[in-house]
Amino acid sequence: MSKFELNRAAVAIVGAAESDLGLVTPGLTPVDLMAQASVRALADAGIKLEEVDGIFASGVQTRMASIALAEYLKLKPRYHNASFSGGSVFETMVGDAVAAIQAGLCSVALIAYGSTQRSASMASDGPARLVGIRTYDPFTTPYGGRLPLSAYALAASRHMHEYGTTRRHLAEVAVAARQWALLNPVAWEKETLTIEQALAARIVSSPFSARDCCLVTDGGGAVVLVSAERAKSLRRPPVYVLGVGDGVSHFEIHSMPDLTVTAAVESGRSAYAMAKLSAAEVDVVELYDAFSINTILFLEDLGFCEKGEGGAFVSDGNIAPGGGLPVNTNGGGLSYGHPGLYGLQLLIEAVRQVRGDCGKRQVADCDVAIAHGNGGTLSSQSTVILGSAATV
Amino acid sequence: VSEGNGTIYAQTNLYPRGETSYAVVLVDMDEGFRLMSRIMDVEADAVSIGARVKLSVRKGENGDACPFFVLAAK
Repeated sequence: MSKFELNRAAVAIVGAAESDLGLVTPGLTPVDLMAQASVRALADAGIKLEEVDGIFASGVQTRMASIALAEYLKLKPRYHNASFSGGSVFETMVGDAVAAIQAGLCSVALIAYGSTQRSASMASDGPARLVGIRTYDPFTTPYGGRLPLSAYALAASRHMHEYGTTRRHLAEVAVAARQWALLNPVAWEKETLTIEQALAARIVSSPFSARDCCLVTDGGGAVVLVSAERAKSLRRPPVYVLGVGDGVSHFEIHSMPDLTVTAAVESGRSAYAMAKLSAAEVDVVELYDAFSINTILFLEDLGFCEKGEGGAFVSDGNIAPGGGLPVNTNGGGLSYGHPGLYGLQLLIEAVRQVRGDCGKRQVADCDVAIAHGNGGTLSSQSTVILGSAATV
Repeated sequence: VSEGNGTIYAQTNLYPRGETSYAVVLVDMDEGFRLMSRIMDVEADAVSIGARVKLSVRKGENGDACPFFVLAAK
């Protein structure tokens, strides 16, 4: 049997859309939002709903998401995938969709997600809280950490200890995200944030204050993928999948070998190799910033700076609008929104930047975008590199 | 068999309103394995990465005996 390899630019994203975001109309379900985003993404692509023969969907709140979405949209997919590997699952699904299209398992692949995380957490008794998927675990629960938050805080503490990273560096990440969000009409946060305000916020799990933590919002999204050949005749400019890569280092944080190095090293290496590109050739960077330390870790692990230099790299507005490297241009999980899983929103923003659709936050001459997903507690990492026609 | 001695590898402090603060940590045991735990009998700010700690088995909230830790005597 010959080796099956994913090919650079064999498949393109031809449609992308968000569902309603933020705090949605009461009564809407996660599958409603998934379907809404799917219909919008297909309209964006100019592809009829009934042409979809591959469905990839996932969710915290949705059981058997691909099947639930197929029923809702009255589709009978030839190929479907409802796997769950945390927030990075949608980047992983891009690779799966490329493989499925190349192998002829489907021709129009829809990747979709929806969440009513904010509505659901407000509806529950007591203070607003995440809709949890964690159950009692004798190795973590008795010690009173707030997971997943405290797991990322532990990683931040080690990065600070080893490399002199400071809370001010973390605040730089939060402030940059906020500045981008203020350029994005659909971002949740509408108020300015200063370094001083971020540093003065109450500590929730040190070194993190609330400003270091992602939002809890409703939302969802969908992207549509077809072969590069089909993509050329569709209504929007194709955004080619140049590279994909995955990496897994542990499940729970106590089993992460080195808390300052993530499996983004491996996922990035694979994605760059397939794309035949390096970090220096990337025009815009979308990173899964569930917490402020993520941005620093992934900038290092994806090769935008050396290990340990992430804090200095994000300083002085270097990743903010007008800085040296545009990072998390939609405002990120920290200020745009974080609907339970954030991975699909990364893909949507990367597609829009490559197409030049981003209005006031558009990155000039944007041909190569990276969308990097994270799942669990820094556990699963998945990197997708997207490019314009000029990169093919 | 572990002697119960270790060093704090990573630390996060929690400050629940109206309650005593506490440090949740990852401890590197002298025998070479790592586990999550919590430092007992001191407020969170008395704990730091690199500190030596000693096993102190106590009951968790559900009554099970769990490996908690205390700061080692200097």
